[in-house]
Amino acid sequence: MSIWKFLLSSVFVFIMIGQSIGQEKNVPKDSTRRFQKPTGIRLGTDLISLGKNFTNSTLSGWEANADVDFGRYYAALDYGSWSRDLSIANGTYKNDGRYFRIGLDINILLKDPDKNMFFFGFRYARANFNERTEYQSSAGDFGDFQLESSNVGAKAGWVELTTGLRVKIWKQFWMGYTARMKFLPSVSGNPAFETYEIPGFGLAYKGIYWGFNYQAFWRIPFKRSQ
Amino acid sequence: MKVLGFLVLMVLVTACLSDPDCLVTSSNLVKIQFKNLKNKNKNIKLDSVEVAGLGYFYPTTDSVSNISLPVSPISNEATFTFYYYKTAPNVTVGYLTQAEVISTKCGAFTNYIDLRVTTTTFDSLVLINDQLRINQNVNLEVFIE
Repeated sequence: MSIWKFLLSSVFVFIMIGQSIGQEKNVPKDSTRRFQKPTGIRLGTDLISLGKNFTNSTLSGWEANADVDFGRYYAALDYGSWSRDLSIANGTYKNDGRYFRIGLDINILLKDPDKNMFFFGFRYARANFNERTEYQSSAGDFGDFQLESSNVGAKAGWVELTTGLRVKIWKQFWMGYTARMKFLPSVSGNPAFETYEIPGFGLAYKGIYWGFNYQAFWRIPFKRSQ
Repeated sequence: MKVLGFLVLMVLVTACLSDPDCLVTSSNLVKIQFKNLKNKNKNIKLDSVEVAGLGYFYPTTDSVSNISLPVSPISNEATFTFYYYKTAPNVTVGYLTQAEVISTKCGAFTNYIDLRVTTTTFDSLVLINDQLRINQNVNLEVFIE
């Protein structure tokens, strides 16, 4: 099954779940469940990614987040930068790349006057990156070598299931978290380099990876409130 | 419900796997098996084998039915010349070296993959396995009358 078929079927399943959660028989259809005109955009950043620049000496990066409401449905877009510099047992490993995620969240809290969110959603993510390793290697009769290899212009893709909260703190200022289960990683690049880490995903050999973002947002309404 | 619980548990366990073991399976040795035309292993008395760029190897036993010969990590081709019965057939193989980082603790190593026969003066030769691995089976089978 191609990734696009998987994504299309995931969108369909999520919308069906969103439509059916909490729905009772013989109850008139609730307009809060429908797609509606967007009322604003939330722009934010991941505080954990920023914090890692100070607490993790091997990783530097940032992540920007945005979402737009369509009633209970939120179109979400994330864009991030990731750079890793590691010492390994017999050398060094470095990577540097950008990634984005695009997807949809479904708000379970329908009647909240502040439009606070508890949501489930999904993302499709792509990363473009470079990676390089230099290492000492022994080749028997040929002797020992200092080898280097790089994977320039590598591309990767993966899928995520998400859940989280968004809470209005003050006026247009929002905070929240997103927990994400990342899976189905695929990489294309230099066949002479087995990808070690995918920016935005994590270690490539792990089929499933967990992620967590703690985010701060500023909401820009499209129309001034009455 | 039990199945769902099991699946969730499996996902959690899989996601929590720690670093892989430092189990290096790659090798830079090409294993060559000699066979007769009836597809049975054949012992031959090798005088020597020349590995281009490295020198001559002299078998320590009178006759061998297989031999493992090294390839270089800084090249993508190797030529082996076999001296026996006053003949000197050779085979040139191509391969791709692939860098793989296992973990910070285990470090990086080189995989030798995509082995292929470029040229040969043997009458008959078959590529069996295109990856060089420790404890592997044969990479090449050479048929000799």
